[in-house]
Amino acid sequence: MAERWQPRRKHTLDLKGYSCPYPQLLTMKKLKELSSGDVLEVVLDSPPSLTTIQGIAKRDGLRQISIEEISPHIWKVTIEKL
Amino acid sequence: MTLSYPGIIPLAKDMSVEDILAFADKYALGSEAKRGSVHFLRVCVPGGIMTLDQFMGVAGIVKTYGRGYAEITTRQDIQTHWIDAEESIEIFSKLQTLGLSTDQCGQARSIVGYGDVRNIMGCPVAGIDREEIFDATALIRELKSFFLGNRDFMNLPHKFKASVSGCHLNCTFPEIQDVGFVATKKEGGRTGFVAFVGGGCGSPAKMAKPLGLFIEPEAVFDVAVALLEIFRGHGRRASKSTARFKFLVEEWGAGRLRSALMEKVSHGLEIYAQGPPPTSGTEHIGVNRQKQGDRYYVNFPVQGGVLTCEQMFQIASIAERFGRPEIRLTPFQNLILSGIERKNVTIVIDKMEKIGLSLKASPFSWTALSCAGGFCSKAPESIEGRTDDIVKHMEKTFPTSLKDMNINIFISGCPHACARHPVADIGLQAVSYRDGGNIHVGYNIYVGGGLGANSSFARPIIKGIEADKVSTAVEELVSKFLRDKSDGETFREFYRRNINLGAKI
Repeated sequence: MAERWQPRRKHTLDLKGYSCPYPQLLTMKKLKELSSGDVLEVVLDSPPSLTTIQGIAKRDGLRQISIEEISPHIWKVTIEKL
Repeated sequence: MTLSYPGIIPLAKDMSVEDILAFADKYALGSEAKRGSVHFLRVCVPGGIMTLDQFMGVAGIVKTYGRGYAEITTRQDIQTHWIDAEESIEIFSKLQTLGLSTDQCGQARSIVGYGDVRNIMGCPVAGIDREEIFDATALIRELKSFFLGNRDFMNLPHKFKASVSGCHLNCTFPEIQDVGFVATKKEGGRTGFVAFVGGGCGSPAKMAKPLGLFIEPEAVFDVAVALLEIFRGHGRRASKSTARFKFLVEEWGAGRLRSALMEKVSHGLEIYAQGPPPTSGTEHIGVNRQKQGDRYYVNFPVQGGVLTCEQMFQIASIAERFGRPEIRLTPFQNLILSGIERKNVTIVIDKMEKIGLSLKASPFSWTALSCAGGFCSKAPESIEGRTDDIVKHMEKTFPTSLKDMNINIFISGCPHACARHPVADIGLQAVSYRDGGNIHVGYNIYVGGGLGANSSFARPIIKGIEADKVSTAVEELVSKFLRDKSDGETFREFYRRNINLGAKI
């Protein structure tokens, strides 16, 4: 029997205004709640956290879909939980 | 000696989002990218004075989370590295139990509006200095308590650096603070404070201006808050590079700032033609008798401010047995034990020497400053290591001839000047330069800086000398001074005179 197709769910975390380590901690926490195939968009304005979140995605085998500077000095990182 | 924490220290993974974010206003990590460290932890120590429990607790954190390596910073903090962000909530919980906080380190952002009030500096011998004018310890703690986690003051255009000193010497660098309060005595003996505003060592360096007010001790708190309100409301927000308070002070001038301040604070202020703060050229070094006449304090040099956790535990043990249950950190990255009975002074000195903190060290060991360039991506090499090399070279070359001259050497890894090289007798700033296809590390050398009467920034005398030749260049500068100086002339006076004549070496 074919697996039932499920639409991907999209979640957003707005972490503007938070410095290290909070964006990293809250992103990790949120990722634990997600199911395989879910997509998480993290919006943040702390460049060091942008780096650490990319590191988490790589370390934990997540798929980093994109990084986009959505307005000056504000980025959106999109991650898919595999 | 042990320290226990009440209850169970929580882990971030077991906590609610709300509970994690409850730490966000008072605790943060800094970012770095060298020696395998991604995050550093900078623990604020208001006025540089901490209890023995606090010092022990921080030593434990350094041991457990920071590979046993710590630094006393030039703003009297304790900093450690290699912090795993996933363990940060445990660390913050421990700090909270100890009554300590961290810098917000919002400077990692390239935009304005995340500035906080950094560790408030103070005279490291407040309350025990025999010639002290005013013990500012309570005032510093009141200010720190007010600003810590206060959201009304966490959206400043840029970070804000302050000092409050009741010391008779110029030991907290008031002219290079955003605001530096210094105790003074008016004719007739009335005690109060003067303030210096708009200073800073980072490029472009600015010498703070006298605010021109006599401030009653009871008004200092309100003046500090009012200055922060003015900065918050009027500081430049167009670009981070011009957002520090010094740019607003330069634009307004001390007169306009004073008028704006006096509209906000209507008590305890008098127009006052303040002079420069006094300069001693030292910071309470060596063994000194306290105002508590039968007790002594001893200032031990800590090269580059670097301590291991084992040293910290042993220091705590010595302090507990022979002194007051407190540790004092100095703006020169040194460490003071206090409350020692006269009969125990030699014992304490011997015990500290056994753990590598010797009073027999050269004058440079007390007066050399180093940034944490070994961890900072802005520095092209380990500034702590280079400082150590230079100090050792100078100790070997001038084993006795520099006694009591207190020539200071401040070494920074970049133009941000965390080690305050623009106000040093000998200031060094690391640079990278290209030689063909290769990149080398070198140093720009500046001389003749200083604070207090006739304060001045150091001026360049050597540009881009190779790093492995810098110790010899510093030696030559000192040799020239010893050979050619006039009677009684200080290093700073000698080089200011010679630089004006176009001297180069």
